[in-house]
Amino acid sequence: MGPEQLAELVDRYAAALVLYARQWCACPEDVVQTAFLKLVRLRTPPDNLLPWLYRVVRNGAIDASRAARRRHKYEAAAADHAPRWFAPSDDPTGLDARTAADALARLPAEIREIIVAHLWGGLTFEQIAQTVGSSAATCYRRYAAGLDVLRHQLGAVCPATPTK
Amino acid sequence: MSRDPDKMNHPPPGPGTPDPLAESLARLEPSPAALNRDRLMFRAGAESRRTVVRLWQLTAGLMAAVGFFAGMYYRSPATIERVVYVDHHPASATTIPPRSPGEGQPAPLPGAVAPIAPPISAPETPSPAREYPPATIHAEPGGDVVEWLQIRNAVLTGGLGFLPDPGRQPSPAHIGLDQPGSLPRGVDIAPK
Repeated sequence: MGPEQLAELVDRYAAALVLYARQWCACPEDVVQTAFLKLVRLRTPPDNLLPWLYRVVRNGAIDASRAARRRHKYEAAAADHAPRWFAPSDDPTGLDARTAADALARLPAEIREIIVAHLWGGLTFEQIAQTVGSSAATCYRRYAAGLDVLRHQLGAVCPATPTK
Repeated sequence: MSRDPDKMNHPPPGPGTPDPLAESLARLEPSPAALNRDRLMFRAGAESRRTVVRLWQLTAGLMAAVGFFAGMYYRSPATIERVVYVDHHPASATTIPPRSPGEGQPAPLPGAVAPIAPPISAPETPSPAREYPPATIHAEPGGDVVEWLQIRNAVLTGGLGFLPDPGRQPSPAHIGLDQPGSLPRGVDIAPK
C-alpha cells in the first residue's frame, strides 16, 4: 500500500474509527494508529478493507480496555479528560452533541457499536456483521432497537414503523 | 442456503423514508481524531521498509557465517609459541689441529680469540722443526678472555714461569700483587 492510499484512508476514516474505538477504551487514537500500521504490514491488502479495519480497531480497543481495567486509577483519570465523542454542532435545530453522546453511552455495547459503525462509519449491515461476527439480520435488529431507545431518551418523534 | 437461522434472515430493506433520528445523529460530526498524521505516516513508512531491511540483514548474516566457516576451514596451521629451556653446555675449549703446510688459512671463529703466538724467549738453540702443542683458546668471551690476557701480560712481562700449571690452583695470574712471594724469582711486578 502506497503512502497516498494510506493518507487517503486516514483522512477519510480516521475520525469514525476513533469514535468507534472510543466506546471501549480511553486511548482510541493509539488503537487506530496500530490498526493502520497493521494494514501497512500486510503484503496484500484485505478484500474488504473497511470491515477489516473496523474489526482490527474493535479487537484492539477491547484489548486496550481490558488492559486499562487492570490500571483502574489510570483509567478513571483518563476518563475525566476524555475528549467528547462529537464536535459541537453548528445546527441549532439539530441534536445536542453532548446529549447524544450521553444517550449513546448508555446503550448496551453490542447495540452501540452497530449504530456507530452504521451511522458514522458508513458500513452496511453485512459489513458490520463481518466485523462483529454476527449476522446482518441480527445487526439490523439491534440497530433498530437501539434507535428506539435513543428516540425515547432524546425525546425525538417516532417515525412510522417500517413494514416488513 | 445456510441452515443457520441467523443467516436465513436477510436484513429487511430500509424504510422508504429514512429515520429522522438516524439522519440527525448522522449529521453529528465525530470529534476530529487527535492522530499525529505525520508520525503515523513516518511509522508506516518504517514498517513498509522493515521487510527489505530484514532481507538485507539476513543476507549479511548469512554471508558472514559462510565467511567465518570458510575461514575456519582454510585457515593456516597455527604457530604455537612457547618458551623452551635448553641446557647450554658450551665447549670449554676448541682444539685447533696443527696446520698442514698445504692447508689454507682457516676462517677465524666468531668470538674466538686469536691463537697464542709462541712466546718469545731466548732459546739456546733455535730448532726450526720444533712443534708446539696445539694451542687452546677459550671460546667463551668474558672472564676467560680476561684471564687469558692477564696470563699473556704476565708471561710477556715475567717470562714463561707465569704459564699456568694445571695441577696448581690458583694460577699465578690470579695471585694478587700483595703476594709477591709466589712469583718466580727475579720477577717483581709490584708497582714502583
